[in-house]
Amino acid sequence: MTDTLTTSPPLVQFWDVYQRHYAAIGAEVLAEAADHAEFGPVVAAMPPDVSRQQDEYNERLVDDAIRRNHWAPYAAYLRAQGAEYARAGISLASWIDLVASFSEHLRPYLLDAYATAPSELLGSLTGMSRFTNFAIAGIAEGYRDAERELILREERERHRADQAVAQSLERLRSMQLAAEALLDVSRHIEASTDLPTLYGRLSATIADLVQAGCVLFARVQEDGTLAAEPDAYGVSADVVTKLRDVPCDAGGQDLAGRIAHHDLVFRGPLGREDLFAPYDGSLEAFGASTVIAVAWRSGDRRLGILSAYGSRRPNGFTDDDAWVLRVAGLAAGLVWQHKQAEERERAAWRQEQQRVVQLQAVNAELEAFSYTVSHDLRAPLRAIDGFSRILLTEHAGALDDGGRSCLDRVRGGAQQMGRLIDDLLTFSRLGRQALNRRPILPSEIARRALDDLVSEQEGRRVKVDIADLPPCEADPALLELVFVNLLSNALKFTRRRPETLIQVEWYEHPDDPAVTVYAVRDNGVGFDMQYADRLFGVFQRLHRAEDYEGTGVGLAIVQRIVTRHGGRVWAEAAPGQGATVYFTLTGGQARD
Amino acid sequence: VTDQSVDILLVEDNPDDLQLTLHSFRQANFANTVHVARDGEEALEYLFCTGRHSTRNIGDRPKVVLLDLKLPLVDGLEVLRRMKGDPRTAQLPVVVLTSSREERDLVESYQLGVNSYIVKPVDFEQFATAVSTLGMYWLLLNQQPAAVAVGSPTPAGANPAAG
Repeated sequence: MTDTLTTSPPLVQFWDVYQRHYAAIGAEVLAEAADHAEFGPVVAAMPPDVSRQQDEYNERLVDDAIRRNHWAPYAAYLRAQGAEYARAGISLASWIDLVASFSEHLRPYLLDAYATAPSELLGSLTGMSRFTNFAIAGIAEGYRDAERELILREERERHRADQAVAQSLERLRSMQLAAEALLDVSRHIEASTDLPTLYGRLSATIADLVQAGCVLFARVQEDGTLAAEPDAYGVSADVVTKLRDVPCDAGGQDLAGRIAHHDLVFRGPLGREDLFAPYDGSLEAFGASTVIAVAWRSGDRRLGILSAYGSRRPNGFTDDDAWVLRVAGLAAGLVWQHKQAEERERAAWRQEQQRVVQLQAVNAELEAFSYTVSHDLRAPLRAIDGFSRILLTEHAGALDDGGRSCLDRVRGGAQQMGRLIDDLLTFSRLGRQALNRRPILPSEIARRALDDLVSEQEGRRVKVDIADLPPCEADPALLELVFVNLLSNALKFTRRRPETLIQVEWYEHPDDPAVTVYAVRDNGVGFDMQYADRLFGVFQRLHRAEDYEGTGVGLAIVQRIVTRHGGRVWAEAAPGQGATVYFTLTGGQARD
Repeated sequence: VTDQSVDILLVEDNPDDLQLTLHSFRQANFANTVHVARDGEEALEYLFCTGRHSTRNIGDRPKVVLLDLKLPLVDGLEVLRRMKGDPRTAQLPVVVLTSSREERDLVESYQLGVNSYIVKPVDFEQFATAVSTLGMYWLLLNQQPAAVAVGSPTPAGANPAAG
């Protein structure tokens, strides 16, 4: 048979690790060969430098094959080697043993190299299996060449050799399949979100690979003891629930601790050790008498123990099964890692949902409240104002000047309260309503706001200068409210000036080119900067009501709108020297 | 309760607002007859000639209905929905006269087919002006089709039990 190979990342991965540990692995394999009944004399007879040269030549060929996809020279070399060994009287079975031992010596190094990246580990294992298959097939080809020459070979011996080839190839192929199956499961882990099913799937895959009746994960709990995970294969639920509070000493004082915390691979009969005592009765029922248990880990994190029971193989679990289980423990670590991430995400989502629900409740309450305010609070005010007015106009004779003045104040109070309610409602609505953001021209909006304030300019000398303001992104209705409030303040506090000067200007932000600073400047009464921080609070007023009317909500409204747009607002002033209110908005790129 | 022909159906629960409205009508010299319903249920009984108003002739339609929104028993929006949903009353002009300036009340009223929506001002002079203006408009200026055949939900004779 001729296996063909094409260079692929799994092949390169295993080869990288081999080359890194070439000296150590080479020495291990050589030591084994020296002890071998058939290889021993050959190794002993070979001068060290010849052996080294041959090794280097071999490595160069493999390197060329794996890294540059030149497989033909290596295949030819293997075939020649096979024929040569056949002529030297070494059986093919021994040769296959040597190749198998090479992969066994290499495996622990792969495990170390890719312990924190299980899918790469599985990839490299697949690569190694493919490579050894290729090597054995090439050697076998050489043996067949030699056999054709040495027809003397007895029929029986050839039959024996063929059987050995078949067995070894079978073994290697099953390892390859195991690695590929685990690789497949771990790929699903990365793609899928349904993790409980994946645990079940992983258990089932492992059971199939190691030919076990059941597979079980036991996880280290917060108190250090072990408890079985519910996603087991082939184990009844009541056995799973029974397995908890199993001691597992991190220092390695008990068997569980040595497996979970010190990577002991346990393979043996069931029931001899305390750790497996809870299973005794339950597992005997389906003939489970043997067990393999390995560490279940995610990188350096010790998660617990992965165990398989009841081998279906005629001679019980093999070394290969133990090894496959070890790799599976790492793949399971990957599952766990994903499950954790998933759970964290879900918890965060739940928390977020809870907050949203709470916020919605608060909003609904606020809405109900402001509706009540809007409707019910105004009605009594209307009654106060209306009946005072009727009293003044239709029952004037019953009142003297003092009485009429009192009623005027009653009406003034009611009307002021009406304005307060309206402003407060506007203010509270601003926090709730959605922003309708889009590119706008602030100059146009400022001009529109000024037009709304025409009554406040009547009979006065007013000069308003609106600069060509850079565009920005904002809710046009809300930005108009900002300008209405700022311009009406400016008009109000300049009322006693012989000529009112108002400038709407802009500046570049010193640190951020995307931000524009807009300003409304007046030549009014100004204010003392030591009260500047109170300016933007609700109901905060810096002037007497009889001098400058107002509700004290206007600048609070301005601040809320600007803040909701992600901007900042502040003021500069001095008593008698006018005031300037600044605010920032972003989205100046809209100019293009 | 006299069920004589009326010009205005005023649906208002607040006694102060009721008196101020009537006062404004008097001040504006409207001699028109006003029928007052103090809650939504009574308004519906009046409009559909049931309950307390079962003897009234549904053909005698007021020229305008002034409707408050926040009402006991049946609220104003529900009264509006029932009126605009029934062919016998759908054509009656309805003016919502309310303290609510909530956007959703406005939107819903217009969706239901209100003819006009007026927010009651706190200032009485503005209030009186609003009431007299709307009275002037709906009672004197606005033209309505002559009473259509809306006497009964089923044509006369169609119901054998009635014969």
